Amino acid sequence: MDKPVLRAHNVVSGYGKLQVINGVDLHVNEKELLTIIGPNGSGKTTLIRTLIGLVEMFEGQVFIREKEVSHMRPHEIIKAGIPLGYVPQLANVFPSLTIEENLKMGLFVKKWDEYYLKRIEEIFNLFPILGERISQRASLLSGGERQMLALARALMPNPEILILDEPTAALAPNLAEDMLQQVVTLKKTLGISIILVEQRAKRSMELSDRGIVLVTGRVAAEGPSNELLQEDTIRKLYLGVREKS
Amino acid sequence: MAIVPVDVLSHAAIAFVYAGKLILLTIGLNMTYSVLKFSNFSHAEWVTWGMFSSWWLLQILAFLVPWDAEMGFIINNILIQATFAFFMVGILGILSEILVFGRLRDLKASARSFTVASIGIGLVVRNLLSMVFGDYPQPVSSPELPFGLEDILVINITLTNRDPILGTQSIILTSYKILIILISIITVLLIDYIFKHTKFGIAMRATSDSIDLAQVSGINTRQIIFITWFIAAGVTGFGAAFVRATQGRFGTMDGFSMLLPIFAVVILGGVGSFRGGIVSAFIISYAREISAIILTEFQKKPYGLQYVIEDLLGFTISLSPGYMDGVGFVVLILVLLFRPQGIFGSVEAIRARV
Repeated sequence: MDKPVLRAHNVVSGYGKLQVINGVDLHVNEKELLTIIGPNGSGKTTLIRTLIGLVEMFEGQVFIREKEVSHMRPHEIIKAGIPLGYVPQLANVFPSLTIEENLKMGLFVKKWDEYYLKRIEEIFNLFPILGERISQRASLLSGGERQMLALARALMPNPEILILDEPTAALAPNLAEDMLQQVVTLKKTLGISIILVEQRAKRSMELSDRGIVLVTGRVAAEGPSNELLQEDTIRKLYLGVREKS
Repeated sequence: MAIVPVDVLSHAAIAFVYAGKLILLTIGLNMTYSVLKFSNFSHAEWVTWGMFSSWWLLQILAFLVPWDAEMGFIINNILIQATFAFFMVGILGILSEILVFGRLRDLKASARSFTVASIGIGLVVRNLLSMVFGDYPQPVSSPELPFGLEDILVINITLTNRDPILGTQSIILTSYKILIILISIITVLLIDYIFKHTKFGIAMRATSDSIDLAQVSGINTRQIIFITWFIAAGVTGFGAAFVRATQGRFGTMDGFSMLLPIFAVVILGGVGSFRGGIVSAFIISYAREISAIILTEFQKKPYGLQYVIEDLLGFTISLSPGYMDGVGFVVLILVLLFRPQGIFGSVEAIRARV
């Protein structure tokens, strides 16, 4: 049986008095790509931000590699050595820092002298363009390059689980497809688990192993992607597929 | 009536020292401006509190503990006073974060709210100081300098004395005035190094870019913000102790009166650029001083512009050197029209402005 890298039970969270996530259970297995889809405002981003401590969790528990991280603040999770990488949707790089400094931020809790050189070679193999522009400020990068840097930074600590919040949101259609392909490649070559939140519901579901449909902060459907892709209601309501008449 | 030539060198020396004061008092504002991304108007009262704590608080403390000659020596030492002011103003910075700014940040308040709150904090601190110490500047003595620097650090050059053409041209700089320049430049280089090249400095910049992303990188952003307040306020207090040492008297309005030039220096140099602050401090203070000379000349009878205008138009306008601060700002505006990010500022730092 697959061992879950991350599992969450009955997560209830929100902002102040506003409850956005109303009791969600989820897990992601080893080397699995889990896609979370759902309409705008369904709480996808809030859910993954809750998992890593950026949004206050009112109830529930979150475990990463069997270590409980519920109610821990994000820096405490990272300091505890939890193998986690996260790429937010907006502000996913540090614009005033150089590419090198951005990558070093991925290793903030480690000794830079020791780890940076060890990791940087693999990162440059994955994203060669970053190596050419190492001393450039991140604010000067294009949208696609920024997204690459954001991924590279999240991969610096060699995480076992990567959480991506709409990595294609700011990209042109052809770049968006490249990005999704890159996510699949990363999963295969690095053997990591990935939680992907996506607006391009159908395409991302086709590429992933398992999917969750989130509606008004609750799990409306869950299962292997190929099964979800076959279900009529999901196809119509959430995947934007029009049936041929 | 003989025209008395202007002592240009002494004016140059005055501007030089004023630039040093500006540099020293600007570093803290530049830090809060670039890391915390709002205009901290209570910076003025950090300066004032630095002056008061370096002098009165130490005097009071020394009064409370058993007095002896050794103690008198310690509290009259500028390094002790400045270090004490560093901690006292640093604590004020942390207190304002705990009581006000931290709460505003938790509520996701806008930068505008931060700025207005900082005006309020400044007023409260200034009024509290007035309640205790009164409104009028009080004369105090200069503290002592260690290592016999008092005698070494003196520049007294007289190029000409009552020369028929050049008049008197002289530079007289006493110990504290020289020290201010040295200390200000050393402090800027030190803070600039910390900001650019240390892990802590990169963490500060990262926190300023995105608090969320900094947190998920493993940075305790709350700690970074506290330390930023402490260092920014502390350095300002440290500088204020030295600035006070150049003055025979000081009062509760001293910090406020320097606030606008301090802001001008940060914006002209470029938010986040500490070295830019050095250049812009010199530009602002020389622009002020030159305009003061010109305005003074305008007021001289009988050929000064003020009297020419009076003769031509039949009414009097005043061209007082008191308008020199305004001229400093004209220079600021002119530069910003061509380089909105300041002389050494990066484009993204513009976002920091409120």
